[in-house]
Order: sequence, then C-alpha cells, then structure tokens
Amino acid sequence: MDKNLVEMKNISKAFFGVQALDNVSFELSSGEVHALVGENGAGKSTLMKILTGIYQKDSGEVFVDGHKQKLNSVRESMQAGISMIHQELNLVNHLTVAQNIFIGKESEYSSPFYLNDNKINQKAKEICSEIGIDIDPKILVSELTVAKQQMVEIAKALSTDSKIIIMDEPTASLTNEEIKDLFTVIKRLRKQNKGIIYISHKLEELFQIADRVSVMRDGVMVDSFPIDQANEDMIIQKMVGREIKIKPPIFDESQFGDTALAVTNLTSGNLVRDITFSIRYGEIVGFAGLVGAGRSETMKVIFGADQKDSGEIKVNGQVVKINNPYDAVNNGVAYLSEDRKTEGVITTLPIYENISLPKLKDFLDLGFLLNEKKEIKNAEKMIEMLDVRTPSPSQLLQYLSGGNQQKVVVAKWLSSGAKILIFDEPTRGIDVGAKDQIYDLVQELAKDGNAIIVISSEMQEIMRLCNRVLVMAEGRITGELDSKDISQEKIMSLAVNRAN
Amino acid sequence: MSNSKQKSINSGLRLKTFLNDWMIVFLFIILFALSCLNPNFRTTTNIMNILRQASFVAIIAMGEFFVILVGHMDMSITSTINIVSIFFAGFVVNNGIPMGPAFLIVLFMSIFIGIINGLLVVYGKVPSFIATLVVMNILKGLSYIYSGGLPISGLPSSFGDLALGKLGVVPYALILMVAVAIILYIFSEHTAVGRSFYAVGGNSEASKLSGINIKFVIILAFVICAILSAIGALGLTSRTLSGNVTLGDNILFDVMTICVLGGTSLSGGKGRVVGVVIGTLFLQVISNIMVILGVNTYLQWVVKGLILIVVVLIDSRSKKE
Ligand SMILES: Nc1ncnc2c1ncn2[C@@H]1O[C@H](COP(=O)(O)OP(=O)(O)OP(=O)(O)O)[C@@H](O)[C@H]1O
Ligand SMILES: [Mg+2]
Repeated sequence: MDKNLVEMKNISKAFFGVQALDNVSFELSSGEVHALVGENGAGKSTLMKILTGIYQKDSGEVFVDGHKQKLNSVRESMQAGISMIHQELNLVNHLTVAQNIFIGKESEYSSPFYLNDNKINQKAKEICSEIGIDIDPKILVSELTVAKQQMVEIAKALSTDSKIIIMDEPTASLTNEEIKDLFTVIKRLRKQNKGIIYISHKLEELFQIADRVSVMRDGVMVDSFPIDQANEDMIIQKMVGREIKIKPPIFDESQFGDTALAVTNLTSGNLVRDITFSIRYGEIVGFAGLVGAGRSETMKVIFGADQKDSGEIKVNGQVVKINNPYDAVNNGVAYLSEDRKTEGVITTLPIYENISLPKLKDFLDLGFLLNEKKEIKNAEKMIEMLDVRTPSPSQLLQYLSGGNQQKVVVAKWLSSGAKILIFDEPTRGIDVGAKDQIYDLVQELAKDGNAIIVISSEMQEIMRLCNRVLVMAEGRITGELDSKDISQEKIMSLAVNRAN
Repeated sequence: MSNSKQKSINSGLRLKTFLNDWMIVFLFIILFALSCLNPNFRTTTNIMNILRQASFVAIIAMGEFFVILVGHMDMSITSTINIVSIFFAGFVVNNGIPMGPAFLIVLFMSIFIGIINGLLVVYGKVPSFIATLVVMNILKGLSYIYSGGLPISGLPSSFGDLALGKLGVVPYALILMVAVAIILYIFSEHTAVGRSFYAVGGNSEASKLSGINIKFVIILAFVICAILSAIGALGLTSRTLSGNVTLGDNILFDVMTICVLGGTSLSGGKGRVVGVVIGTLFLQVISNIMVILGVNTYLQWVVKGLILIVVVLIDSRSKKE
C-alpha cells in the first residue's frame, strides 16, 4: 500500500431533481481494498460511475496514477486501467464465458473478419486460472450460477489489464461459501498490487476483506479510516446517523390463525421434489438453504410462474388451481422475486405506479377510472415508511439507486393487500437501517394476520424474522426448526445434508 | 435535504418531464408559425384540409401506438387497411349489403385479424415482427384473390361524408378523430387495463409476477390496432368512394414516424396518445407545406425519412442520461 492509484477531488454531480454528489473526495492506493459504504442513495454507485466514465462529473478532478484524467467515456476509463463490476450483472446470456470476457475486444485476439474462438478460450482459461477460478470458457453464461457469473465479470475486468477494479455489491446474491471464494480472488488481486474499490451493505464482510473504509451520506463523504480503527457500530453510526438495535422476534403462537397455505407432494423438475409444508396466518416461515437448493423454484411453482408436475396446493383449506401468477394473485398469494432487474421493477414507470400495480382495482373511481391522487397518497405513505430516497413519488424508477428500487418493490408487495406473501431475498441491496424498518413492517404484517414466507441466504435475516425455518437441499425439504432451535449451525448442517 | 431545497428540486424535475412530454408540441407550434408565413398555407380551407387528412392517419397511428406500447410491432396494418377497404366496397357494391351490416362484418374481420396476430405472438411465441409480416402477406393475397387487384368503385355518395362532410367548417373526420383520441386517452392513462399496457411494455416479466394477465393485454393491443386500422381504412376509402387493395401500402412508414415523433419508445412502455395526435399533425403540416412549396413526391419521401432519423437520434441521445 503506497502510492495513490486514484485520487478523486471535490467531485460534484447533480441529476435533474437530485444533488447526488456534493464535493466528494476519494483516494485509492495500489494493493488496497477500499470499502465504500453508505445508505441507499448515498451516492456510491454514482461516484463509481463517474470514475468509469458512465456519468460525467459537474465539477472536480480525477487523477489516475498521478495523471489528470477527463474520463469522458467508458473507453477512456478502461484505457486508464479502470473497470467496474456493476450492481446489476451485465453479461450476454446466450454467449459463452470466453465470448463474454472478450466482448468488444475480439479483434485483439483473432482476425476481425473471421472470429476464431480458440484463442479467446485459451486466453480466458489463463485469466481464470490466474485468479484461481474454475470455469469452462466454452460454456454458455446462462448455465452458470450467479456466483460464477460474478467471477466471469471479474475475469472480464481483468482481461483489459485493469489496475483498478470496482465491485458494486458483488456479494448481494452470493451465499457464504461463494463469498469466501470471491474473497480469495480479491486477496490474490490485492497481492498483485491492484486497487480494489468494494461497495457492500454487508458490513461484517468489511472486516474480512477491507483495508480502509469510506462512508458516504446524502452525497457527502462523511469519513474515511483504516479498518482496524473501526467497528460495526461505529460504521453504522456514521452511515445512518443513529444507532440501530436489533430486536429479536417475539411471537405469540396462540395468536396464529387457520392454515393459510398447505402444499402436499409438490414436484416440478429436479429442483422441486416432493415438497410438503403448511403455514398458518400470523406465521413467518423462513426457507433456508444453499443457492440452488430449489427454494425460489418451489415458490415459483406455488405462485404459478412455473408449472408443477404433480402435487396439490390448498389455500384456506380449499384445493386451488394456480396455472399462472394471475390466478395466484386472485387467490391472495403474492411473490416478491429475488431478481429485481428482470422480475421486479418496471423502470419506465414512476414509483407510485409500480407500487399500485398489483392492486389497481383498489384505486378505481366509478369502477373504471384510476384515481392517481389516491395512488400517490398510498405511495407517499410507503415511501415514508421505508425511507425511499426520492425527490417525489412520480420519479421514474430508473432514476433511483439500486437499494431504493428494491425498497419500492418491497413496498409494492407490503401494500398489495395479499394475505399470503412470499418474499424471496427481500432486502437484497438494502442498507442496514432500512432493513430494520422492513423487518418491523413484515412482522407487523404477520401480527395483522397475514402468512409470510421468507427466503433468505442471510442467516441473520432468517433469525431476526422467522418463528419457524424449513431448510432445503437439492430440491427437498431436509428439516424444520422451531424458533427456539434456530441457529446458524443447525441450519447449515441441514442445508448441506443430502436429502434422504 | 432541507424543505425549500427539496421544493426547488421538485419543480426542476417537473419542468424536465414537462419539457420532455411537450417538446413535440413546441416544435409543432414553431413549425406551424413558420408555415403560416406562407399565405397559401394559412387559409381556413387549407388548415381544415390538413386536419381532415390527418384525422384518419391519426386513428391508425393510435392503433399502432398501443402495439408499440406493449413492446411489439404490427406490420400487418397496411394489409388490414387494404382488405377492409376492398371487402367493404365489395360487400356494398357487388353484394348489395347495406353499409351498416357491411361495416359490422369488416369490423369483425379486423377483430379476427387482431386476435390472430395476438395469438401468434402470445401463444405461438413468434416475434411480432415476423408474425404480423406473415399475416400481412396472407391478407394481401386474400384481398388480391377477392378483387383481382382491381379497385371496386361505386360506393354511395352519402358514404363520402365520412371523409368530406363538415359540421360548419369542422370536418366530420376531425370530430371522429378527436372523439377516438379522447376515449383512448382516458383508456390508456386513467384505467387499470390501460395502465397495464405501460407495465407490460416496461417489463413484461415483472408485470406477470404482479398478477397482470399479460397475454390478454398483448392480444388486446393487437385487436385495438386492427380495429382502429379498419376505422381508418373506411375513412380513407370514403375519400374516393372506392375500395382499393393498395390503399394502405405506404402508410406504415408514416405511422411509425408519427409514433416516434409523438414520443413513443420503440422498446415499449413509454408514450402518450396525445403525442401521437400531435405527431400526426406535425407530419401532415410538413407534407402540406412541401406540396405548397412545390417539392416533388420523391423528395418528400427523403425529407420524411430524414425527419424520422433525426427524431430517433434525438430520442436515443436524450435517453443516455
Ligand atoms: N440517472 C439518474 N437520474 C436521476 N437521479 C439519479 C440518477 N442516478 C442516481 N440518481 C440519484 O442519485 C442518488 C445516488 O444514487 P446512487 O445510485 O449513487 O446511490 P447508492 O449509494 O449506490 O445507493 P444503493 O446502495 O441503493 O445502491 C440517489 O438519490 C439516486 O436517486
Ligand atoms: Mg448503488
């Protein structure tokens, strides 16, 4: 850790409606992992997008390796040795790993008139082994897990000989095991004297991987300090400006109502095998397991987004036919997808229209005219409750930060009026403070007599929310834990358990 | 953020969306003002003429608008127009069917065409570009088989009122177009089904998971498009009192230009009925002024092509930030 690889001085950036960055300064040395944290909408992604030439700064200066850089385009930034792994993955699904890694740079490795994949496959293999990841370069990206896709993004970043690698919430959709692999790769990069900027909402990670932490709040750089001078509470304090107390869940079993949803012998493909469980009104049931255990797949079948091969679903004691999500919503079942970008947000619509989408019927005058005032009022209430950072409820979703988009999706389902709610990774990309608010709201919803299923790869989240946990492995339920029994160890041992 | 800062930011935001939404209106006003410098342009007759001619094109463009809004494309409108025109004339002139029932028959024909388009796209999973291209050719074949390619003239002169009739100085066509536009405006922006068009166009997967019946929405878009094409076709037919199998042949390009001019995003999810109407007027004024200035037809095509390119470029540039 010696010289400054990057120096950003007094950077400001305003969008129509928002001052996203206000006089922000930031430094990165070579051989350093520099963590950048802050609440949703604090300006982390924006600052990094300026460094990668996606956005142009309004004022301020950027030095890379001591040279002043304009960074007017992504290409310029790449040539300066900077590359970024974005909050939302940017891979082309129907191309191979190698083709993705060298996209736009093919001509450097083969004749531009006749592309020959051999060379790039070879080269891709080299890059992957250099950082110790094991992926077949000839495989299609769509066949990889999110974690592996993440690795491909890293390989892509390295293919341009970047000295500076920015990772925007790389672990948001990874499991603990996968995160360990990622950290090994990051440590190797650090040894090679690269500079790494690491954005994350999982604060405990910082102590494993970061050398320095910088905290942003409302577009301002609040503080920057070496990690060994910090602890989690202090970081949260600087991020949120207040303390957050984690409250353990309190459940009163006598308050639970009738069985809301009962699933018997549900089977679909390889990832949903013979699933049987039920949930009562008032309960919050967690689904734990490794990625690929079949949790999301199970829920998608229940929700009618995927077809079942066999099995029975009962809602309120009645067998129901759910052939598509439309039927599910009509039966009072809601599903919040883990995939925000493709299945959650409608970026072309304003916040309030996103929120009211599942229950437009509630906003009708005369039975057919939409009452936008009512919609906006409802949205304003949700925006306030979840602390969505936005200039107005009419802001298009595409202009919100990743975490704030997620809050809107959560708001949409919290206010949907559905009695049975399935939340798949509900707090992905949401900051610590807002997470806590969401947990409170979910618990209130359960107290009001709704049945709630939570899928989460964050153990803390499951333990904070649920009165009961089902663990899945390889498409089967491998165990059930009561609130008294829930512990990280027990969940893990069931999650890796082969189904028997 | 302080309250006053928030407020000024809010109004800045509003101004921006306002400018975005209404840019075409400002451009139109400028264009109109410039055109009015020409004495041949600014006569009441000429302006009413423009409005009359624009009316049926606007109706057809509003149809295409709904298909584009849900993220698809309907290439078959040209043939829908042709087949409606020739069959309507055939029914009335050759078979002696009264105009009312004949209208109902072609209306059902168009609904059927829309449903076929929709089913191919939704259940057949055929890209709409291909599906409607195929339907377009089939319809074209059918209308040539039916008529041998010749026009069928001799529609009752009362039918001509649709295109040429006036209430005082105001053409019937304009009244019809305004009525259709108002209904579609309310439908698209103030009803639940209309809202789901925007949602499906913006992100069909997310809409599906929100419980929207996206299959229904997409089929409905094609049906609306086909019905409006049929109404437009009758209007265009009434101008010459004859059915014609080439009536709609050149209209697709104009309709696309109009939708883009009016701020409709070709990737779906964005646009407004009002924009389509203004877009139509814009294009019609340009055509009209070119005719007055004696620009020949072929050069007019070039100019219209350039307009489309410029608008698409402006649109994709403004999307970058
Ligand atoms: N293109 C844009 N147009 C308008 N406003 C924007 C745009 N991009 C970002 N913003 C606003 O700038 C602010 C900072 O956003 P940014 O994405 O940098 O936040 P972030 O710190 O990365 O948050 P998160 O943790 O949720 O990802 C937010 O208030 C956001 O709404
Ligand atoms: Mg971000």
